[in-house]
Amino acid sequence: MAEELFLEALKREYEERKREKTTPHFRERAWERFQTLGLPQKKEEAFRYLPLTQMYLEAVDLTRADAQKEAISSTLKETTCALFAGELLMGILPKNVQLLSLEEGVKKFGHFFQNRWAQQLEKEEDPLALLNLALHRGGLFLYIPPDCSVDLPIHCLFPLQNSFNRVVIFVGARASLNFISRTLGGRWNSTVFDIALDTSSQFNHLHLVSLQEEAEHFDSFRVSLKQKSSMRSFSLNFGAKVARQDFQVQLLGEGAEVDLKGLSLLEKKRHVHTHIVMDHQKKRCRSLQKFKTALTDFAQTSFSGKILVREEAEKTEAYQLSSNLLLSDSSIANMRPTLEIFTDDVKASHGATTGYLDKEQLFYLKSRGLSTEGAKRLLVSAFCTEMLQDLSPAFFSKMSRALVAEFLENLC
Amino acid sequence: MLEIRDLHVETKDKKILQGLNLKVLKGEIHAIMGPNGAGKSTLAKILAGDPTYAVTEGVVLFEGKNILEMEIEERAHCGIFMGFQYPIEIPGVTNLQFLLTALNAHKKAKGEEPLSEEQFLPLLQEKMALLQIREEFKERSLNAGYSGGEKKRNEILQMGVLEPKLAILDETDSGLDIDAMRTVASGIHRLFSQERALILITHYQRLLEYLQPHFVHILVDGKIVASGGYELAKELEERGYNGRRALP
Repeated sequence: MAEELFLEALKREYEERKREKTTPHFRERAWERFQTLGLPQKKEEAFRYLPLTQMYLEAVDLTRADAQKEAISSTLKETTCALFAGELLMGILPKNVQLLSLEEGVKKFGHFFQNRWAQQLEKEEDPLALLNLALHRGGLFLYIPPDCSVDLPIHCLFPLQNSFNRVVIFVGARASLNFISRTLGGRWNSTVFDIALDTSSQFNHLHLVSLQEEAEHFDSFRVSLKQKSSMRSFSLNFGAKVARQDFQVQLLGEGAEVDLKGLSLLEKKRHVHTHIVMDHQKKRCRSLQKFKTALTDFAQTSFSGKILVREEAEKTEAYQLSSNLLLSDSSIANMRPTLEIFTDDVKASHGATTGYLDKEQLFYLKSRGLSTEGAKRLLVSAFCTEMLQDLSPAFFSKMSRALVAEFLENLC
Repeated sequence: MLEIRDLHVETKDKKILQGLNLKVLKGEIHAIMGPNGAGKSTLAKILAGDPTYAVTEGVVLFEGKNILEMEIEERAHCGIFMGFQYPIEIPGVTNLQFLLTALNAHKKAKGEEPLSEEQFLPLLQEKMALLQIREEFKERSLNAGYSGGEKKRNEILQMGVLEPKLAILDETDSGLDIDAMRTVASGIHRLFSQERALILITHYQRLLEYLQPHFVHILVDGKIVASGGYELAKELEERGYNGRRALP
């Protein structure tokens, strides 16, 4: 019953979007594929730990806007742009960069989109990502031309909204980009970050997610890396009723490198569910997945990460680490690391840990005068430290530290 | 300053302290010596409030207040400090961050304004110089990857910053080479005053040579079996603990 109502809401949205002339062909095909796959089900590994019934019980209301556009416009003095209910609001834009609405992007770079979306339609197995392609209300396209180095970050806000958004980024050969995406709210959101990194390009991404407690939020990252390109990504997530982050990273060219890191700090009944497929397709690529979560109260998290090393991908180095710190007896953490390796001469490993605060450390700190809360706070901060230092560029560390400090201030 | 009366302590059905009495006054340095397993470290941990031990009988009065009813941090705020035999490693917390947080926790308990990092640094610098601790230790993780000697020196640095009234140093001298021992001993000596008191738990006479305790107690099987002046330590060095077992 819940599922039917949910599907009906999606269908209404689809009928609405279908009339848009921009990319009808892809919308239809994505909608069809979504219907074949159906809504995510508990029995599927990728969705096993999500509170799906609760999700479907609350029908998506995509007609509601929770914020005033004017309020958002005032924040644009310090940022590059904001995506508000499908509309791209421009702030300060560095030189040489093309920042377009998705509609303009598709018109101007039609060939790129044709190829990219055709491939995604064929290969995408995630119903939520497919829904996004069918139902996206708008989005942005960021084009960094070859050899262009954008040191100042492109800072994009995703303020309160209820919609499907699409962010497509192309970093040209030997170009580099620092990108900050900051999600600030919304009752129900799905954002796909579709990132194409050309030969020898560099992409540094800081993804900050601060949502209301009752929000449902779905981020999908679809990344492709060509030869010798590199991505360093750090997600700082404070969770929501449901917050899912789904990464599918394809290392398509020799010598490509990926550092995928995430820190989640969860209180109350907040959730973060992380799903990763690191797909090594070519030789001599390196990848690292490192995710940490500290949970208190009734918070929940899950981490399901796969390292896939295909036949051609000799001399791969792939590592995965996940660890959870439980600060209450009622918090729950599930982990499922997977390795699928189809070739020899590979260095690959995974490690997963879950634990409570160390009693000896607590005693030590308290014997020096710290209150129980103060000692806990310091130990949680110690748990986070490793993730926050050495982020590149350095201001990613600074921004993240400030948000973590704010969270810790209110902890316990 | 400190009065322990008929203290009995046990853990998991094993009796460790069995009727211990001790009185420490301001300006005094006491040494507690004794064979392994006698209960020396337990005594230190009990004073600091380690929850893994259960006090079954007795009282411990510090400046007239029964500390056994106090939380661990309250004891620290009253001015009790234990130097750990095995200092705990906490990767991810810098020494500076830890020391400032600890000092500010004490200030808060006293109703004083907390110090900023800028205000704290000169104070820290002074104490680090006293113990010949290198500058880089400010930014290093608390005890993580330190050598035995570095950890012990760091304990004394904490004592220097927190300025407790009573410090119980549990085998602070073990793991120190001769030079480090001299530095640490001279640090302890300079941090000591007639307003404070010290309890040194040790196996060796060397630290005592530097610090010249007013009293030496021998702890065997959970009881103090002999007390005397510094000469008792010298006697032990020659004859060992044999013949000093508690009577059944």
